[in-house]
Amino acid sequence: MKIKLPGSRDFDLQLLMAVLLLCTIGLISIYSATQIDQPHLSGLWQKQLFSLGLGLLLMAVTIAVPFRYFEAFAWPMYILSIILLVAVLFAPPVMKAHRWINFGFVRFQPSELAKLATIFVLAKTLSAHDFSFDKFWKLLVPVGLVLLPAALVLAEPDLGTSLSFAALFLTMVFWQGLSFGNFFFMVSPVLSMVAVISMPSWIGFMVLMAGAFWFFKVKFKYALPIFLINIFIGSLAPAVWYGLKGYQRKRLLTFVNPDLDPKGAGWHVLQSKIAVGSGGLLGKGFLQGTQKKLSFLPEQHTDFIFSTFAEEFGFIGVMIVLSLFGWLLFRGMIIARQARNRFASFTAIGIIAIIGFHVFLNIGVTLGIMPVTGIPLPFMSYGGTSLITMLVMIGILLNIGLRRYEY
Amino acid sequence: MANELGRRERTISLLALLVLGFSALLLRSGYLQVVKHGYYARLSQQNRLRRVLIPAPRGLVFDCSGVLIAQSRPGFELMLVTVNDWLSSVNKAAGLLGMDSLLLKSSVVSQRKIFPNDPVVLVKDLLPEQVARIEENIQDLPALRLEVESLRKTEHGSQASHLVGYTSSLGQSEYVKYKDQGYSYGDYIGKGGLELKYENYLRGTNGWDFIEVDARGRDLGTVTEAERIEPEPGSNIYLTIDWRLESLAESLFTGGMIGAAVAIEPRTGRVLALVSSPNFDPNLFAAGIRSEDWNRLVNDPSFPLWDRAIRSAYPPGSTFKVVTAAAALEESLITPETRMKVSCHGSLVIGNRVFKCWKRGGHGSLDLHGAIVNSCDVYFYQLGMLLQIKGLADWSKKLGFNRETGIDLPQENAGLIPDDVWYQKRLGKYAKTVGHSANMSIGQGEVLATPLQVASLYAALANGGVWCQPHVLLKAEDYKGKVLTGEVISKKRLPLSNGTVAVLKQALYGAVNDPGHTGGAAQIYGVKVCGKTGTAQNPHGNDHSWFVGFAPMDDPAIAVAVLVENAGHGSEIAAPIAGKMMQRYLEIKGLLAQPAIPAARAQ
Repeated sequence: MKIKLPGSRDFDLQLLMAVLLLCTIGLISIYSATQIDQPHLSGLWQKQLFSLGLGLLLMAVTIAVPFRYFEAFAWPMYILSIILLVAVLFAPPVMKAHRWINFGFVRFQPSELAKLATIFVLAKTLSAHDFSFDKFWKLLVPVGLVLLPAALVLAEPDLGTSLSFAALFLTMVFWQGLSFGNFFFMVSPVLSMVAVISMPSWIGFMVLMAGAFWFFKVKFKYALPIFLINIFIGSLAPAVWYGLKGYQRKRLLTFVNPDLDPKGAGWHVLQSKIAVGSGGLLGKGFLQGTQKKLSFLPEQHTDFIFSTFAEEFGFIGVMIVLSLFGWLLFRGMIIARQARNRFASFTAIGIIAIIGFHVFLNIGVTLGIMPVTGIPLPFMSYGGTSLITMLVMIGILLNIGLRRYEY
Repeated sequence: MANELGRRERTISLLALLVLGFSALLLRSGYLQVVKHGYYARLSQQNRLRRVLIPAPRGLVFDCSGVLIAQSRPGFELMLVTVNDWLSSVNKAAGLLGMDSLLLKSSVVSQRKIFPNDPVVLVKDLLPEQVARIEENIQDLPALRLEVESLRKTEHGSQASHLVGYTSSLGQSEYVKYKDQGYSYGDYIGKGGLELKYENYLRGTNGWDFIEVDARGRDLGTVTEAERIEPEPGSNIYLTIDWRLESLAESLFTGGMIGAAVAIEPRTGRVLALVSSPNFDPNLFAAGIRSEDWNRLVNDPSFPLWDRAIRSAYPPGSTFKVVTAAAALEESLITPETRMKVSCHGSLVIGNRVFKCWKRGGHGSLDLHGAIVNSCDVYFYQLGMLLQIKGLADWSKKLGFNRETGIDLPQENAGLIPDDVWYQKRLGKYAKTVGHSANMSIGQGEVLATPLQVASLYAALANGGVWCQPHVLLKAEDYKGKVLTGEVISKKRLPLSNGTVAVLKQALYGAVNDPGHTGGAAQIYGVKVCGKTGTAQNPHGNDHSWFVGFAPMDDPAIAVAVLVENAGHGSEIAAPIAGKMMQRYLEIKGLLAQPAIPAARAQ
C-alpha cells in the first residue's frame, strides 16, 4: 500500500478551501458578535481560534489514517458514545439541559461524538455484503442503531441534534438502495402526522398513498398494515394534541424543545429577521451591526451567528456563504459517489447528511422558516466540540476522497 | 459495484434535494434583505420595536375556609419609554410629582446601563392625585407613559405578616441571580414567609406584547409578525390557618406585647394560627419600601420583621418539665408515685450552689403528678440529676427539640439542646455538669426552643404520642381551579408508651384545674383543658411568660403555645391568651358547651 499525501491528484483541495473560508468567516463573525460591552464575551474569538487550530490538527491526523481503521473502531466508539450519552443525563444541567459533560478543563458534548459513531456503525451495517432490503424487517437493526442515541439525545433534551440523527439515517438508508416507494412508505407515518393539520390535506395525503401503492405495485399484505398505521397515527395525533389544554401543549413543546422560548416566542426570530433584513444587499459593514448590541439573544455568537453575519455583510455575503456550503456539500457527494469501498461511501454520505441538515436547519431558523431548535451552524458558530467534530468529519471526507479508488 | 447506476440516480436525487433546500434559503434571504429591506431597516433604526411586558397577577392566598388573606391590586407606574430626548420630560415629571429630578435621572442612567433600549421604571405606585397630575400634563411628557402593574396587597393589613411574608421587585443584583428562572427585571418575588416558600406556585408567567413605536417612543400599534403572549396568573394557595382564630390571636397581643402564639390541630399538624408580635405591614414593601420605612423597621428595638414563632428560640422554662418527666418515666427511673429524696422546702443545695424553687415556702413532698401541677422545681432538679445531661439531651432530641420541625416556612430555628459534647467543648473535658442538668430539667440554662417546637410537642402529647409535622399549606390550585398539590400530612410515633402519655396528660389537666394549679387562667367552661405554664428566666431582662396547652383533653381539637417576652409569670399573661384562643377555636368548631339559657330569655 502506498501512502498518499495531500497534493496527490485525488486530494479535494476545493473542499478544504471551502471549509477554511467558512471557518475564517465564522471567526470574523464571532469576533464581531462579541464586541458588545460584555467583557466576558469579548475574548471568545481567541478560544474559537484555539479550537480551530486543534481541529485542523486533528483533521490532518484523520486524513493520514487509512479509513479502514475507522471501520474497526466503529463499534467501540459507538458503545463509548452511548455510555457518555447516558452519563450526560446525570451531569449538572446547563440552562436546564443536560448537554455537556464537564471535565474541569474542558466542556464536552457527547452528542457530537455520537453523531460520528452512529455514522460509522450505520455505514458498517448497511455496507455489509449480505445486507439488503428484500425483507422490510431488515430495517430494524439500522433503525435501532439510530433510535438509541437519538432518544438519549432527545432526553437531554436537544431536539435539533436528535433530528439530525433522523436526517442521517434517512439519507444513508436511501443511499443503500431503498426504493423511492419504500422510502415514501417508511416516512409516511411522520408525513401523515404533519398532514392532519387540516382534514383535506390528510385525505389528499391518503389518496396519494393509495396511488403510490398502485404505482409501486405493493402487495396487499404490506399495503394494508402501512395504510392502517397511517390511519391510526393520523387519527390519534390530533386527538392527543387537541385533548391537551393550551398550557399543556406549550409545556409539551417546551419540554421536547426547550429552545422554543415560551416567554419570547417569536421575539428572538423576529429580532433575527430584523438583523438579516436590515442588512440589505450589501450589509452594514464589519463591526457595524446594530441589532447585536441589543443582546437580544443569548446565542448571537452561537446558534444565531448567521444573523450577525447577514446583518453586516448583506445578501452578497449570504450568497457567498451559501455557495461555499453548497460547494462543500457537492464535493462531498462526489466523493461519496466515487468511493469504491462501500463503508467509505456510506460514511461520506452520512457526513454530508449531517452537515447539510445542520446548515439548512440553522439558517432556516435565523430566517424564520424553521422552528427554533438549538443547533449550531457548522464551522461558523462558536463552540469547540462542534467545530472540532465538524473538522474531523471533513478530515474523514478528505481521507475517503484521497483513497476513493481503494476497495 | 453492482448498482453503480443506482448510485448515480441517488446522487442526482440528493443533489436535487440540496439545490431545493438551498434555493429556499437563498430566496428567503433575498426576500428579507432585498424585498423587505426597507421595512426591517426601519424597525432596526433606533430600535423601534419594543417588547412590552404584561405582568402576570400573583396568586391569591386564602385561609382554610376561603377567607382572602393576600391578593393583588393595580398600581400605576411612570415609565420612560424613549431612548433619547428624555431629559426635559423627566425634569417636568419630577416637578409635577415633587420629587428630586437628580435622583430620577441617576436611576434612569443606572437602569440604562443594563438595558440600553428597554423602558425604564421612573416611579412605582403613584398616588391617585399624582396619576391625575401626570395625566393632565401628558402632552408635555412625550418620553413618559403611565402603565398599570399588579402589586401585592394583604387584606388584613399587618395581621399574620410574618406568616404571609412580603414581595418586592427584583433589583439589579437579584435580577442577575434569578433571570435564568424566567424572571424579568422589576418582577416581584416573594421575600420571607409563604410568599417566599410558595413563590413557585404564587408567581405567574408574564406575557409579552410587541409594539412598534415612532422616533419619539410613541405607540404605533402592535407588530403583526410576533404574536402577543397572554400572561398566565399565578396559582392560588389555601392555608391551614383559620382566619377567625388568627385575627383573634393577633388582637390579643395588645399594648406593645412582644411574643408569639402557635396553634396546631393535634390530629393533623395543621397550623391554625401563627402569630408574631409586633408585626409589620407587608404592603409597605409592595412597590418597593421607602428608605424611611425600612430604617424605622430595622432600627425598631422590638425587631418587628423577626418571626418570633418559628425563628426565635427561648428558654422553654417549666413547659419543658414534661420532657424531663417523660424521660424519667421511660428510663424507669421513677414511677408516677415516686417521691424524691429531698422534699421541697423552697430550695435545693447542689454542690455549693443553692437552686431555688419558684415557691419560696416550698411544696413539701410531691409525686410526679403533684410536681407537674405545682410546677415544683426542687422535684425536677432531682429528676434532672438522676437523668444527667445525657438522659435529658437524648430524650429532648427524641421528642423533637434541637432540630427544625420542618414546617413549610423559611428560616426556621432549630433551637438548642446542649449535650455532653457541647458542655465539654464549652467548659472543658472534666467539667461537672450536675448543676447544668438540674437547670436543664426545668427548661433553663442553655436550653432553647421555638414556640413552634413546644406547641408541636404538646400537640403530639394531645394526640396520644403521635407527632404530626406542622404545616401551613392546605392546597395549591392553578387559576383555573385545578389542584396542583394537596396537603401533606406526615406522622411519627414518639417513643413514649401509652402509660407515660396518659400520666402526662392527667398531670397537664391537673396543672390547669387541680387545687394548687398554675394554669387556671386558661380554664374554659365545660371543657377539659390541659396545659402548663412556664416562666423562663431571661438573662437580658424580665422573665418570659409561657403557656402551652390543648383542649378538650379526651379528643383534642387544638394545641396552643403562647410566649410573651419579659412579661413575668406565665400564669398571669400567657395563660389567658391561650385560654381565649382555645375557647374561640372550640366555639368555631361547635365544641363549646353552652351554658344553660334561662327559658324566659328565649322569648
